[in-house]
Amino acid sequence: MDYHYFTWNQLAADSAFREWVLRPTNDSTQFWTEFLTRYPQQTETVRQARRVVRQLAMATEALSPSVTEDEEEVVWQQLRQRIGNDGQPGGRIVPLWTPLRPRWQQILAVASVVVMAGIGWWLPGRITTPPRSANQTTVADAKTGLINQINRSNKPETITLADGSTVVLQPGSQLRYPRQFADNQRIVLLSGDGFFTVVRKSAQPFIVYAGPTVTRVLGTSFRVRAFANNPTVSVDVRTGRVSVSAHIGTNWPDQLRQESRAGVMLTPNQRAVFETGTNRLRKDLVAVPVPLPTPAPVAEETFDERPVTDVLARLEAMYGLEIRYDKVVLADCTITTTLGAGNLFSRLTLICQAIGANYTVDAGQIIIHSTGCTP
Amino acid sequence: MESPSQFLTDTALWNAFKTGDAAAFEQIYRMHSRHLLSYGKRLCPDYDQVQDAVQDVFVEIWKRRATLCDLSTIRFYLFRVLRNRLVKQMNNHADPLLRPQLLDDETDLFSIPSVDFFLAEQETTERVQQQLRYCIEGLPHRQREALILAFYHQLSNPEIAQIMSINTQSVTNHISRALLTLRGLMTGILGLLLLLLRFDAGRLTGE
Repeated sequence: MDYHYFTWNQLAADSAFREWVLRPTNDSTQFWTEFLTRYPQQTETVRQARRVVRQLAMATEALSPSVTEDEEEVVWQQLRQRIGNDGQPGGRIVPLWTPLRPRWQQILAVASVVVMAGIGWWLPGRITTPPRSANQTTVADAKTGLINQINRSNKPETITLADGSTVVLQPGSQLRYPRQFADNQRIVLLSGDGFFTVVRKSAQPFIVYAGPTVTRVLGTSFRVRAFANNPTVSVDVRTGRVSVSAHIGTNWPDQLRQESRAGVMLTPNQRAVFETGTNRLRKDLVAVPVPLPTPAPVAEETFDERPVTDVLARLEAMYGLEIRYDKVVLADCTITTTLGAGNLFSRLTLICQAIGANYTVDAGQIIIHSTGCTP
Repeated sequence: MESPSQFLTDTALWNAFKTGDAAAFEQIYRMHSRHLLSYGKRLCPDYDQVQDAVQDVFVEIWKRRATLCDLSTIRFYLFRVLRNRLVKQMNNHADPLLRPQLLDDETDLFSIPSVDFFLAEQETTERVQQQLRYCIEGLPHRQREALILAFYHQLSNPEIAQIMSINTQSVTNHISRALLTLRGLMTGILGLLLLLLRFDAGRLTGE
């Protein structure tokens, strides 16, 4: 090479020069020292080129997507299985595979699930691609061990999970879940509309990844709607307490780390809505609040000239919702009414009309605005 | 993560691998997997595809271990097969070849008057690095890819040429041109920074 007429960028573009800067050996150092002794006029060029190589090495490293140990391990475990299954590995191989390290079993479970979550969200076309032989498709993913169930029929399907929890999957929706849950958590992935009734297990939270949201519960029932073509994801709570948070990033390990930021806690008949546009989670009420399930059918209850606060307290208990009002202001308001199964909002409207008040819904709470009643 | 480096010399590792030793295979995997996964992620936005493709290339070297030449070519071979696979898959899905560019509307950078110094003496300052990364993202994608293979993955120009299916001279040209472009962009940006700093300072003293 006629390095003596190279410019700084030609030097930095030269493999041997780069190798010397980034991985010097005695030989290469000797070569370049001799070169500079012969062509001292190139000293400044070499100095500049060295600086550029080092800077570029740093910048390109920072630009290159990072790969975590977990990711490396997940691929390795899958690779190991494939080679084990694929083929004729040769006499020595089988005993040499070490057993799956316990630590990774958990990570694998999480990892596979979350990888799928990302894809469910970003590449809906890919996952809902046929096989379309049957209306409802159940495919166990050989690599992740996840069961992939798609409801291709036109009516809801009920899936029972390993822990006894059930999911009512609406048409066009997809659920991925493991055959067996991990010891410390139960993770499933939803794309579409699913109503979950989760068996309570306090040591094993139940976690639903749906698009950009993560919903965690211990035992409860709730509905998640996360269609890939819809910019909003909603979680409606039927019973129990549910925590919903958003996760960001398309790299799944980041999702795991970042999901816990800024979540909302939901109680029955509340809804969390995530809007992709604003990237924000907000709290609301479900469209049609329903009374909490009770052991016996709800009997009609008659209130005769009773304080309205009694009626509101009863409604709160029935629907598991908080209704905020000023007790002092409403102290003199009385009402005669009947409570049974029925629409909460129309009932509230009637009550408010009767006492000359109105109500608003804000962040999943009902607020009664009143100036009071004259006794 | 502990690396099971049971084979201390390349020859020992290679011989064990050739005879189908799984531990040797794992060691080779550990040596290269991170760089490959990282490169794959850059090429293809679908991590699932990247994972599959990286598995595929390792399965392939495992199956073809008897016919592979030597350890030093494995790394480059893995890169090449990975790229072919991902590019083919992405073509099938009619996806753009490389990640969407971060900046399309930054051509204004070129019109900023150049300040006559290159990359500043304080070469490691985060600000310079930040600008450099920003400018690299703005390069034509072939140049950017060559740059990343050369400076991050530290492959030689002939290796890069085979990975990218172009000739060695083109690789050299891509890199040296990219560097010139970067200098132009960097001096432009540094000039802009200086202007902004001056403007800020002026505003502060004016208050």
